[in-house]
Amino acid sequence: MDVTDADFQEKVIEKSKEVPVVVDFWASWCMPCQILGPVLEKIAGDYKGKFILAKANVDQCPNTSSTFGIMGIPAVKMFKNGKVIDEFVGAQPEPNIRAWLDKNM
Amino acid sequence: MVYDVIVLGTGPAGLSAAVYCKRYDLNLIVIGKEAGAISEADEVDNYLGFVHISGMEMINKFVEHAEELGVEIHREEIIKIVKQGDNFIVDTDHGSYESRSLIYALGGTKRKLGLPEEKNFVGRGVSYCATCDGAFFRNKTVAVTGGSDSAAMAALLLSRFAKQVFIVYRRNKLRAFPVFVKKIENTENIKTIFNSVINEIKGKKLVEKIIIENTKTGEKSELELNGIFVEFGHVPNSDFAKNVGVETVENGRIKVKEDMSTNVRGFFAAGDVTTGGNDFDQAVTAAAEGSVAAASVYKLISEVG
Repeated sequence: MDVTDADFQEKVIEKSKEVPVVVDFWASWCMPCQILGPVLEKIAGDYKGKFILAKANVDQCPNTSSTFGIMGIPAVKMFKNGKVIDEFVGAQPEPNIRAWLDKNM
Repeated sequence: MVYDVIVLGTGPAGLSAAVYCKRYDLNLIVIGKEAGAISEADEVDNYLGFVHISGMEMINKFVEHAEELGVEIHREEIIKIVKQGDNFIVDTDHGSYESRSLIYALGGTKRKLGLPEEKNFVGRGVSYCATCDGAFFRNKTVAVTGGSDSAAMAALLLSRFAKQVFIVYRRNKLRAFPVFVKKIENTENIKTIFNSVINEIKGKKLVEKIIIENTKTGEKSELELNGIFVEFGHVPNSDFAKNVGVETVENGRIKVKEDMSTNVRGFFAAGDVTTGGNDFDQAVTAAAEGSVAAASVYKLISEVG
């Protein structure tokens, strides 16, 4: 699911009150983002709806990126009940991401 | 299934090796996730055939080229390599693969500053990728540490976004290509602080200032800024190789002969992880080493039959 400044409130903040939403802040010019993106998508498929993966292209989300203090990408944040509960920056190996998800869900 | 060769690494060395292995009609797969140091270069203008291209576009073209020739790339995490008889077993997070030879081209991992507080500021001002994060520092003050080509390129890129860029370098002269040094000297918002190292990062949540130490006088000074881009070069990713007895030199690079062979029969290496390029670490030297390694694998497989 792609999100932008216009629908971030609805698709991430509000939705995270029902189910955890993991937001991947990324950009087309960022190679580590290109590496991490498919890994997150694969994991999201494996977790079968236990969390929602939202892809936030920082070019489409300048205000949201600023609100959440994005200074390095890829930046991955988990939202629960409308708030960020944990985050990591940079491409990570798949087992580390799974451990991070399991710890937070 | 036993492959003739498994190529480890998906940067210029690994992909070039794969292309040549295909030409030799070897039975191979490529395993790797990273895209090589070159993928983070803002602009590459010294690789023949590409006058201006970003590192990311270049690596994507390399992948396209290899895949067009039928090379199978497994985007998997390598966990372990072991030698079993004459063969090699590569375990990944998705499976186990066996081959008669290896071309090891895993490059390096970006060197960190090495300060205890550094990890707390990653994503909060400390960055290891200027092309990824430069745009977040519009009208801010940043520092680049290092004096290599990658440090120079990072500083030049950042000068387009940041209000002020400082290069903090431990020596008294940048070792980047002269063309970069000239550009830096002619860029108004870049200032180089020589004979200096960063020895502390300060800030409540975000980076706010650094403490710089002059390596000649020991004098310390504070510099207020918003970002630090670490460009200290790479630590060779040679651990998997060491585990199968491959010899490395003091800086961790794999010791290779002219044919890219190592002290372990059937284990070849190429690119930034080896001693082969005389520490030059260029995409062109990595690609060349990859092709030599492929030719050597072919020779070995042909001899053994």
